[in-house]
Amino acid sequence: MGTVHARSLDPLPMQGPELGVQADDMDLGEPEHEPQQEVLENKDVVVQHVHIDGLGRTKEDILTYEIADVFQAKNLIDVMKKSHDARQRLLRLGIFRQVEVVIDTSEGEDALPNGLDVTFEVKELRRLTGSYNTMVGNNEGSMVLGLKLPNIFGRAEKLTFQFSYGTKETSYGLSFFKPQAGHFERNFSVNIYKVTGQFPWSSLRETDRGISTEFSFPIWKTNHTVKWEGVWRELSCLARTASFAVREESGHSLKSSLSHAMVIDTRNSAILPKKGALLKVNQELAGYTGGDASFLKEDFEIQVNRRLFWDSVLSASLWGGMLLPIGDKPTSIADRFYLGGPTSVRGFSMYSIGPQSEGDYLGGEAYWAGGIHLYTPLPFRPGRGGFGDLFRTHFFLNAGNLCNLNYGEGPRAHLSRLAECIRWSYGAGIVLRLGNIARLELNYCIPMGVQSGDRICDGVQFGAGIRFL
Amino acid sequence: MSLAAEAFVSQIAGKVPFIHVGNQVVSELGPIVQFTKAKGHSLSDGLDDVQRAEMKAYMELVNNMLLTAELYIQWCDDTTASEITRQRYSSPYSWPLNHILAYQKQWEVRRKMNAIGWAGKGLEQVYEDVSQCCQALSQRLGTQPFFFNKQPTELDALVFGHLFTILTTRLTTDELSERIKSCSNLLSFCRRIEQTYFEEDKDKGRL
Repeated sequence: MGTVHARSLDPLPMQGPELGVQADDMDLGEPEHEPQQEVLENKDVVVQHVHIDGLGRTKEDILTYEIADVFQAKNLIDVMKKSHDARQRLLRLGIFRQVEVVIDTSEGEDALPNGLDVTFEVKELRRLTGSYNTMVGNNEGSMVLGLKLPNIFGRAEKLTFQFSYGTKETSYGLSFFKPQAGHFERNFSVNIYKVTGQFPWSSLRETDRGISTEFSFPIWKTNHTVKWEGVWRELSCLARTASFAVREESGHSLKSSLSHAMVIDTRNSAILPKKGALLKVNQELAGYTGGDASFLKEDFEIQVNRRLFWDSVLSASLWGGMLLPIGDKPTSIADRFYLGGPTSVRGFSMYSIGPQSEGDYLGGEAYWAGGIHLYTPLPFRPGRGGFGDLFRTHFFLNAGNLCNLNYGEGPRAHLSRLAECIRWSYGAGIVLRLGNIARLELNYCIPMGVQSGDRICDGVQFGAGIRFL
Repeated sequence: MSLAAEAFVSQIAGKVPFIHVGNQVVSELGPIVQFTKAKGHSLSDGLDDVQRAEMKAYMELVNNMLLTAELYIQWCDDTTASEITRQRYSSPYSWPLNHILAYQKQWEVRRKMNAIGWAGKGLEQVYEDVSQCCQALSQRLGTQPFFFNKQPTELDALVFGHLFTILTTRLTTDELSERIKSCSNLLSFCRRIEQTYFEEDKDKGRL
């Protein structure tokens, strides 16, 4: 019998003689074709050996988990399906450049008449790779130089070094990642970093030098991350005209915190999803492991998307958070929440809602923000099937509030505080999707419910980022 | 001034002393003097040009000598630095930030000393320089109440500030304050100013 190459099985054929077999690979004569087909389809097979060829520094023990399933296959179609799955799993480890599958009959002394050998031919990634990217964050752009050492010790560990020079920030970081053998979704990483940021809305410059370790693991459908972080924060004023309230916050402080995040994401895409929902809950406790910042911080993010008539999508999202200081010390400006801007409540200037002092926004200890969006394809659908598909028109209604709570009062008082003086806005605009990472928006916004002290940006507003309300 | 507050205010304005007027924060003696002059008040109005030049010269002497000697003794002398200065400087912060910041400041001051050529000087030499500076000031003061006759000027404020700090700060030895006390007119000058202008702060470390 000839060799069957199962290279890439899209789409997976499920019946008949078109078993992904290339017609020119079969060197059987026509009359023998019919009975051989039956043999291929219905015959029970046993996978006797599974080999992986082309390993250099990778240790075999982590790979055995990924390919173990192939042994379970009972007939040829099953073998092909399971080997395709195993190939995907090997690729997601991030240590191979290329994986090919070869299925052949067994040979040798212990070969059964219906035995098969499956071989994965792999090409490992090089030991050291460099990269140069440009990145778009929330309203800023940066140039990123990276060095990556994939699979340094042979078990899918990864060491990365990144240097990023941006319009607002300069940073560098070193990160080590190690997954658990056999369960790639359970992994831990250690990061050391230095990040500088400039925040003109608060006339503040912040330099963080820190170290963090995090563990990620899935539980049923959710993904959890537990992290410890120790950061040396240095705050200073950005201008001579910074208000005294901001000057008082400047100086050095040390934050040592434990945090836990849970994410359930069933959306089909992170940018402009068409269906599915997202729930993210994050809590952070600082102060019990050292340092001088002491607080409990909670925040959540919910997003629900639903497809409507004519290819349009209705999306609703809700964000909220609360910062509770523990002990007598007041909270630091670097820990508080901020609201406003083209990525949250549109129609207002960047982070320019809420408590402020002489034009510098100080952030607040509690906030909520919600948005309802209707995304439709561009009118008259220009460029359909190609470039035009990256654009969407969108109509939105955003609302939110940011304030400081008086923790002596009860929850009812807190809710009423958050419900008074709501800022909201509505408008329409165009959204451009950039790959699967970011989106650009150009909106016409009408802000309402503006309180004294807020800075608005009514009319046309441009926004770029990864996370939008 | 308590140390935590000193750390705090030096972070706000960059340098002590500073004043906070309305929306503005002005730090360091030179800019403060200019600021008050712009508002119409000046201590050295009664001086003629020669005296003003002399005052500036003495102020430079104090800045170059006394200030540098203070920094040297606090940070470059190993015993003082480890027993007193680093502890004081790092007291507002938690571990490990306190060590990092104290060593960073020490490294910065030592680098500055290298740059101005004081790194080679021994402690005795520095004490000698301080004595000489005090002699010069003592001679200028003579028996007058203030450096320029009856009215206090910026020079008096500057000299008082430095001498008072030296006399009231605890160091490993009392050598420095002894050297200053040996010029008796400087000592009585400091006492006089303290009593005239600061008598409410009775518990703030008497001379």
